[in-house]
Amino acid sequence: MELLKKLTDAFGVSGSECDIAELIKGELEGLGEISVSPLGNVSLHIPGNGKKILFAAHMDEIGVMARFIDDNGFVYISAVGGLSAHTALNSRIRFENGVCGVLSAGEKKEIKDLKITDMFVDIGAKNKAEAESMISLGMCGKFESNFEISGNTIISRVLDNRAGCFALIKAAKELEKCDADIYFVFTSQEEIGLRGAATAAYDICPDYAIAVDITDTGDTPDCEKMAVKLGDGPCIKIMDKGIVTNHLVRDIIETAAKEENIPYQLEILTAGSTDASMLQFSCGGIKTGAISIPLRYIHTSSEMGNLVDLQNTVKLICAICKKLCNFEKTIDNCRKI
Amino acid sequence: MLKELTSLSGISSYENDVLDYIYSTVKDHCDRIEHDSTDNLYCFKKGRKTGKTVMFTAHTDEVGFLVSGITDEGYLKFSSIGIDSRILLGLRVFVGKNRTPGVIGIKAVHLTTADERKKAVEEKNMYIDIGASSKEEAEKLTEKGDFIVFDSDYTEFGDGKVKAKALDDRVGCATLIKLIKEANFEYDTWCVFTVQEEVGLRGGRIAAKRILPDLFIALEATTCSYIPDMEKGKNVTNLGGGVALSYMDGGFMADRKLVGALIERAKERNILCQLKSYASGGNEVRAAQTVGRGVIAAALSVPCRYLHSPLTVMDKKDYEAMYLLAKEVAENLSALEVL
Amino acid sequence: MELLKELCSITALSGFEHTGSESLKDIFARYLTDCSVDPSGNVMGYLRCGKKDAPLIMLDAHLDTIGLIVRDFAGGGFVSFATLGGFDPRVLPCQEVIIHGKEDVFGVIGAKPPHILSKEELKEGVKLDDLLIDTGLSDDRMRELIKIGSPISVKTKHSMLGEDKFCGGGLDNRAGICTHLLAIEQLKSANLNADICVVASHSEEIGRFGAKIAAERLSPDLAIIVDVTHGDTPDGDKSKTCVLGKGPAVCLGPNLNRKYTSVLRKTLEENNIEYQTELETGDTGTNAWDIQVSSCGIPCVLISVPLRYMHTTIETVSLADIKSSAKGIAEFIKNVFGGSADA
Repeated sequence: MELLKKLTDAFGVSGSECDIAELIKGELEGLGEISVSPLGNVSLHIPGNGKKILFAAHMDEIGVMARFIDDNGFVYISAVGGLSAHTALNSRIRFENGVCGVLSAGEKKEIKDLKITDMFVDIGAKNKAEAESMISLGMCGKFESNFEISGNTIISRVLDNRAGCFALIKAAKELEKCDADIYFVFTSQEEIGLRGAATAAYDICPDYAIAVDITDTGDTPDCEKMAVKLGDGPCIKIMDKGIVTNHLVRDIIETAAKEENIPYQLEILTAGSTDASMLQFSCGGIKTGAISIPLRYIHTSSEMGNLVDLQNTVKLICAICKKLCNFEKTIDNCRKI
Repeated sequence: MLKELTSLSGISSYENDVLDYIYSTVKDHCDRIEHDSTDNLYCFKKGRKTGKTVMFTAHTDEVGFLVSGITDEGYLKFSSIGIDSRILLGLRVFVGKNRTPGVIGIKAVHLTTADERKKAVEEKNMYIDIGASSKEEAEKLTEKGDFIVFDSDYTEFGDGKVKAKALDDRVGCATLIKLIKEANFEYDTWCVFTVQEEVGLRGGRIAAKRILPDLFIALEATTCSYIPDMEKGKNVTNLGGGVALSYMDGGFMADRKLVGALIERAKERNILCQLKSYASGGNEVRAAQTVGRGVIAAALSVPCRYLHSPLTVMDKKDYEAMYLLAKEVAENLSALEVL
Repeated sequence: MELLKELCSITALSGFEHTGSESLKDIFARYLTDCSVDPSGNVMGYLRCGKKDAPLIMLDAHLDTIGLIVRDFAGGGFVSFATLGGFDPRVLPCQEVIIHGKEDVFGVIGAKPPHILSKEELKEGVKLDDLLIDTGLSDDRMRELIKIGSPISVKTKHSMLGEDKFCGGGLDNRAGICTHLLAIEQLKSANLNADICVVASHSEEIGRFGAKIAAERLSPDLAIIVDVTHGDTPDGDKSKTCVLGKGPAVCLGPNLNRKYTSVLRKTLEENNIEYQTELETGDTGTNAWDIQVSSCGIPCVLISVPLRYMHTTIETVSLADIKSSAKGIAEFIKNVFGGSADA
């Protein structure tokens, strides 16, 4: 779990992913060819002669960006990604240079009237000059919190989507040798519009693409109806707001899970999308699917995941690769139907 | 040149007059000049060095309206592109190629109720009066789908200020024309005058896909709000504060290394420069950034008050600063160390 | 009308078009050559002119129709669902559905009887989250036959209303596909200087994915898109609807190429085909919006068949409008891309 803790600690606000990218590159050392794209995607290529498959997990996180400092040294911010004002209220922020502060809003403001554009980070500066000596405009800040494990329950910041990154890194390390041509791509700027994913497959043109991200659960009080439960296994995505996954790819994933006795769930998400929505358009159309790790309290400083779900996700990724190596003929036959 | 450019009509998808003017101005200064099926104008300048391709864009279209119908009495119904409908009542406009004058009318205030005066009039209830007394008479002058522009003259006023329609983005066009004529380009550069930015960055996206540049710079106009909003930085920029740069606009990030390097370079060369204090608006960086394997991109903007209205106001200092910084990129890109 | 009926009988829900793409390909094969289903799921077929380096015209009409999808099991033989595309929830109570699982399972979307509803509930609009499908099966049997993610089509009938109007689910956009095939019929014996590719694109209702992919692959010189637009109803806004029976609606606006659109209009006028116009200053809400910026930019022309009660099981069109849209497209293509009179 050291790896997951390191991953969730690392700074990687959309557009400023250098730190998390360096950490990931370090972990991938020696596993294959590593490259970085103009928008900051980190790719690992494990060459093979068989079918080309691309797994994508975004490494960026939502955060804030300093946009304006008032005369009293309060730092007004812009949201980077989908921030909810009432969730972010009174959170701890750490800027990329280490300076810490509290994200708040006027005490007199009603929760229902809260807007991100009215929120500021208090870094304890006495005035504008002092604040300007501590941080500069345009600097990004992440939401800070501790990593906790209790039994199989993980509570941490940015399990969305360092859990996905963890799964790809572990799978890359544990993969059995096979002749599939595999790419693991850690994409940038997913949280601000799937930007990295839009370019990820351009030079690769895989036969199949699978996004590994997170999804909501339907097992907390008064929540949106959903068949997904924490701890019941990684989800095979059927649909979300941005994609109805390719049925062939879904079948491959489901068969792989069944054959290796990996528990899984079926996911329908009525809000939200992932890198899969962008990958499906690349290269004249790619058969695209997605695997999702169930999480509760998404986009808060205390997201909750399940260790066994995470381990099963790693197993599932390896099982998919194995299936693609050994059963190409089956897939080609499926295609002809 | 800015005066001439802003007086031309160029609503999204009707940019011909602007494109023709630009073509005649730059054609003898380019190594190659082409256009595509949407009418984007591509001007190629050979660089001193090879190995990288740079792209600048400025969009030729302005906000305005299209005729959506003609009433039996000869009034025009219209649909706007990118305009806040609350500024429309009482405005003068020109309709179509013939520049038929018209006004956006409203019933006299004396005839309104207190309730009516409290609510904004919806665009679908507005009309343009071109002085026709019947549908047939109006149909001789215009038709459904025809374009409508603001009636607003280029005026210099105050302390170095300019008022005109379409400063967004004729400031970009004028800057790009000047670059083509005067800059000594370091790398091969495509200077593209794009179409249909205001309806969704359409021409810019197509142009970026055709060129697949290594570096992309959009030359734009950006917003500068009222003085009272300065308190929380919601004015976004200050007139006279210099060319505006931003790390983040409406939902997308420019290349941070590039923006940082541009701010440094502006400081070194004493070019007036400011950082936007509010993430707002969109520009062609959003469309160009995700083409191909990804493009390193940023925007340079002239701050303008009253954007998307007939009386957009800018400060000449900022306009000059944008040219100077754009010239730095064009002539000394390698020194920025971003590619 | 027979062709339209045949097209409407194919089940191809948004995201699950593979269940019907082969059947559509077989129909295409009666009109076109080189018919195929591309790797992403678009159904395509060609009418080739046989000339070297001929330009390519893409005729697009989306294949998918909206539907529902099993979201979760709700116990007691009931199932909760989400929508595939924009279904009007107000027409869902008291509809019959077919859940496509291992077998087709019949179900009904019930409604609480008025006797037990409060006055306030009676006034409220229907909420999707409150609706359930009753399969009448035991929970075990239900889980044997269907699963989460099984697509669901809403049962519909197809019939004539009056002498000219055709009514039933799926006319959005089988009316479009029908139009293209009828146009091809008229072009078969024409002497053209261009190749034509008819594309029944997938996933329009859930994000216009298929058309984007097809346009990138084909990179045509011109795209003619046929979709449906809102027909006139007593409670509709006259400025936003088109009249059934007054011919196809030609769309004007930045999304569409002005030169080609004006040639289309001239062609319609020269051939005495009555038509209407629609204005759209931005996104036309059709595949044309995505096709225009695909590849390196593609000129588009958009024709829409007026349709009442869009996204319900009682969609209604005028057969005369479809016929005149088809003729308009055929004459337009003959006009622009050479072509003498029918042999």
